[in-house]
Amino acid sequence: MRAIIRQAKANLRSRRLQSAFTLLTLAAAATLLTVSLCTLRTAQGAYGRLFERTNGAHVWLRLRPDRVTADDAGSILSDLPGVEATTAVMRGVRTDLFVGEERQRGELMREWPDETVAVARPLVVAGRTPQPGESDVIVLDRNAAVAYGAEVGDVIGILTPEGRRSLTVVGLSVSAELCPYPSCFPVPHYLAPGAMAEIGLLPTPEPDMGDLAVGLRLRDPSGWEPVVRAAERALPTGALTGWFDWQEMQGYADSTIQYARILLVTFSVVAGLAAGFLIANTVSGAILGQTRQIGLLKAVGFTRQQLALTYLAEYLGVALIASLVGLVGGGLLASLALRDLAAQFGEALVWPPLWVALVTPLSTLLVAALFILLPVIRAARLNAITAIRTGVERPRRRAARLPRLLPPLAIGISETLSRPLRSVLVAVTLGTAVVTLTAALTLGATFRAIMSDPRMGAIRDGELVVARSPYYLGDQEVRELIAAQPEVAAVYTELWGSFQFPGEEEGLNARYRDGDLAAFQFALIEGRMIESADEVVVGYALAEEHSLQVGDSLDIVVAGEPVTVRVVGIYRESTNRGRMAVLPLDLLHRFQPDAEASLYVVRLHPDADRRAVDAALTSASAYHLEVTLAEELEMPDWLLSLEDTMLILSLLLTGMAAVGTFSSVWMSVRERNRELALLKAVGVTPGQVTLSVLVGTVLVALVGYAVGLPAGIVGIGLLMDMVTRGMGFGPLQAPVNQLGLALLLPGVLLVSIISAALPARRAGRVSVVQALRYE
Amino acid sequence: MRRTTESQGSCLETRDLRKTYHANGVAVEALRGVDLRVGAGEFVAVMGPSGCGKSTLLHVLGGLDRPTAGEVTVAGRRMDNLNESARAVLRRKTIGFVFQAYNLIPNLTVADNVDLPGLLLAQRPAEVAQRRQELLRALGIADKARSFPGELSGGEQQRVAIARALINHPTILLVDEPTGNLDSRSGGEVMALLRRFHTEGQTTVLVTHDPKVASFAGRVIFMRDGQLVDEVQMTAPGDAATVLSGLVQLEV
Repeated sequence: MRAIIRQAKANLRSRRLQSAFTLLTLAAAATLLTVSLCTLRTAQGAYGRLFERTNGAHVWLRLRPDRVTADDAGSILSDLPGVEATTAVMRGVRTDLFVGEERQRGELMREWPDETVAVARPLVVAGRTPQPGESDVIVLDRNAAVAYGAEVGDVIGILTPEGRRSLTVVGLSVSAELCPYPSCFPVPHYLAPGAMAEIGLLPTPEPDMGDLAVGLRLRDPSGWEPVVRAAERALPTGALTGWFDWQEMQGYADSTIQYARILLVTFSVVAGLAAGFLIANTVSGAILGQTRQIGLLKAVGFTRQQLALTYLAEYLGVALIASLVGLVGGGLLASLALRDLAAQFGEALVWPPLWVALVTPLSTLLVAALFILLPVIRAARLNAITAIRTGVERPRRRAARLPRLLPPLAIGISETLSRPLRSVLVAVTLGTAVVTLTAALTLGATFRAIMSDPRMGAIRDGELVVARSPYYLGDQEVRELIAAQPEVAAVYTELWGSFQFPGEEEGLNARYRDGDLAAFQFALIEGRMIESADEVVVGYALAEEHSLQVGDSLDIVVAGEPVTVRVVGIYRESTNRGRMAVLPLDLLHRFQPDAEASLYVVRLHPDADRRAVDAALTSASAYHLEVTLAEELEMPDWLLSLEDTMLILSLLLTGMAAVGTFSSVWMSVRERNRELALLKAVGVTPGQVTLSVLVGTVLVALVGYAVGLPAGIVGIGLLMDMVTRGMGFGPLQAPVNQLGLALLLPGVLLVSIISAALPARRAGRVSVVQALRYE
Repeated sequence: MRRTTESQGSCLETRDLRKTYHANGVAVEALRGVDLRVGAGEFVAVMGPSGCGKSTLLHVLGGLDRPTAGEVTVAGRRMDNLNESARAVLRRKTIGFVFQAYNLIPNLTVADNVDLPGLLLAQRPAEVAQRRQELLRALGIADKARSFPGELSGGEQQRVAIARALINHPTILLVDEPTGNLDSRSGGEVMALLRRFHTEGQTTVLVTHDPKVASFAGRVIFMRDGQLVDEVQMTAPGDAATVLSGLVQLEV
């Protein structure tokens, strides 16, 4: 054992630089593994963890404040069988917020719950809670605040019956009541206890401007159905207007990060494989480079087992240090890359959990051990004399025909082909980076297409979206305001309502539309937009769920009345997981004549000044209309964040591929020391030797690019298609970021050249005399 | 680079050649003022005990190493003041090397090993292939062209090394202990081949410690402690006794 330890120590001392590279590569692989595992952990079960932390309510009820008082509701509900505890019965009022120049409509205001409430307390993730008597402060929902650009300390506005009033943001909160904004809306913001009456939000100007909300924590977390029925019976008639359970919300919350989760998990798997390849390449290359030494050790009496132990001791020591370095580095990177995703659920930092802290070193050591043993056993089986004489692995016969090219090209190509396994491993590592970069670029292009292409549902350039505040401005008034603008060429209106399938309790959302629909372009997958009162266009997911096709007749229930409509189209719906329909507003008017549209999509004449129209409408409506121009639409933060995360991780993988390439080329140059000296002895110049090494590396990089690019495009295309189908958006042909992908080739070549530059320079400087003297 | 008038008529010439190595702070003088002149078509053997500087001399003559001081002129061109790249170019044009350990490139076939210097000189591949076939035929290994070095015997590998050294019609052939790794029969065959190429006009400088090998040369030079100390003109090839007597006198 003493001999083994002494030899392992001597190996480490004599090959400090190589040991450093091995450590660097393994640390990079461990970093990637840590990031991947942290990603998996963050992307899964985030809602569940928030639910646990906040002692969430299993079911939430919405009550009408004009049918039951908060006190009565509280005492009725807390006495129901199966109810363990309840939140306070919270009065909610809808109003508008002003953040900077932006007006956020229909925001839900509540008062901060009293200290005695132990169920579903909002979790303050920044700042502090509002205190009684502070009528000029607010705690905003964290995810809405990020989307609106509001931070703690900012002064924002709130619309009250007396006009706009200023509030200071003193805190940001998250809760498991609803899924994160914007998937769920309205999400509650909190004023200080007693502040709603003080600033005039209570009593509300309209009876339906708000509601009462109460959360129930149940003894049986899945037994909400009987509790809701009991509540319905116990409460005054008509008091219970709606309810939802925590598992439904978990489903929505998961779907919120479904894009992120699927993409990041896929990335993690790819990255984990890349890490394995890196370890394999580094360790096996390093061991193979010592075949001659293994022969010498056998000659002086080392057994195979002792040889295996010697190299295990040497490399596992390095791997252990590397895995710990990688764990820390990966933890830091993960906390940066996944900060936004985690923060949506109130998780401040993504530190590797204990199981990650164990899995990373263990798997690094395991993979390293595997790739230490295989080449050591192979080398140890060699006859000692052969090992001493032959040195590194004998090259493959079939690969070594010298092509009739310029000598540096020929030598570089010949070398690459003669060590196929190593070349393949480097190509795979670089190719993996190309795959993920391609995926990240394609992903960004897809998001932008969804945001800008009318065929994907985006507002077309030259259109305005006008939203009215239902409490302050009537539909007819808005229609007249819009009609008064001479620049307006066409308008269609929309009312967000609901419908049902006969015999089903579940209400589905619908966009009830009327107006000049023919003048607009819609995100239709098949068929056309509605033209008459008995037609429907269904969302992709609804069509799939009910096997609906264009031309089918469909029985539905609108405002409680059964009607039959004809399916004339299938469209892309970006909300409610595609389970929606577009129905004629005329159809709703048959049963609800007073139903009013709240959204107006306006097409202007081609030469119209859109900003002037925007200003005119906003001013004429006394700021009760919100006008959005196509160019003002921005990608949601979570999409930007996901794109950034994918790019950061891809660049990390590229960096690792660079380290792996460097390490591999460096070891190759070491192994080929004698061969390079021989080349120089027969007249190859140092520059040609350097060039030959670079040529070999570039060739491998080209193979990685040639394989990685189509794999990335096809892979992300399939993944995006699967995700968008799953999200109910429908099949999607992912657009290609041509410029980005075109720049990827020089980028990959540059990375490979930079990675190989130092070893190639060393190759050019090999001393013929020394190399031949020591052989 | 200048062509010296003194070097006219000689293939290789050195003046006051010195080489000092520094190892662990200690200076070791491997060559201490070597003056050597090798005429065109000569076959010169350099003999001497281990550590006398034979191999260092050969490396400096071949441009593999730079002298610390002195001049080396090969085929009328000064080599000692050239940088490494220029030396490599000059070497590929004018010098062929044969090493004791053959030093063939293991992942190239015999044909590719032999062709490589020719291709480096940008000769047409067809011409290189033709010359290679001639050489392999002359060396008796024409059937090994597609083999790899690891598949050949020591004697066969050394013949490949000779073919590689001669592919570019070098002005001078430098040979370092060509039979050191071979059995006596293979060694004899290799020396016979070198002798044959010499009789066809190939200038050759050979380094050895074996009197029998040295006896194939036309002139044997004796080295000791980094200096040329004596030389013997051989009257008959294979007369090892003459070489041995010179060596004995040197030791005395």
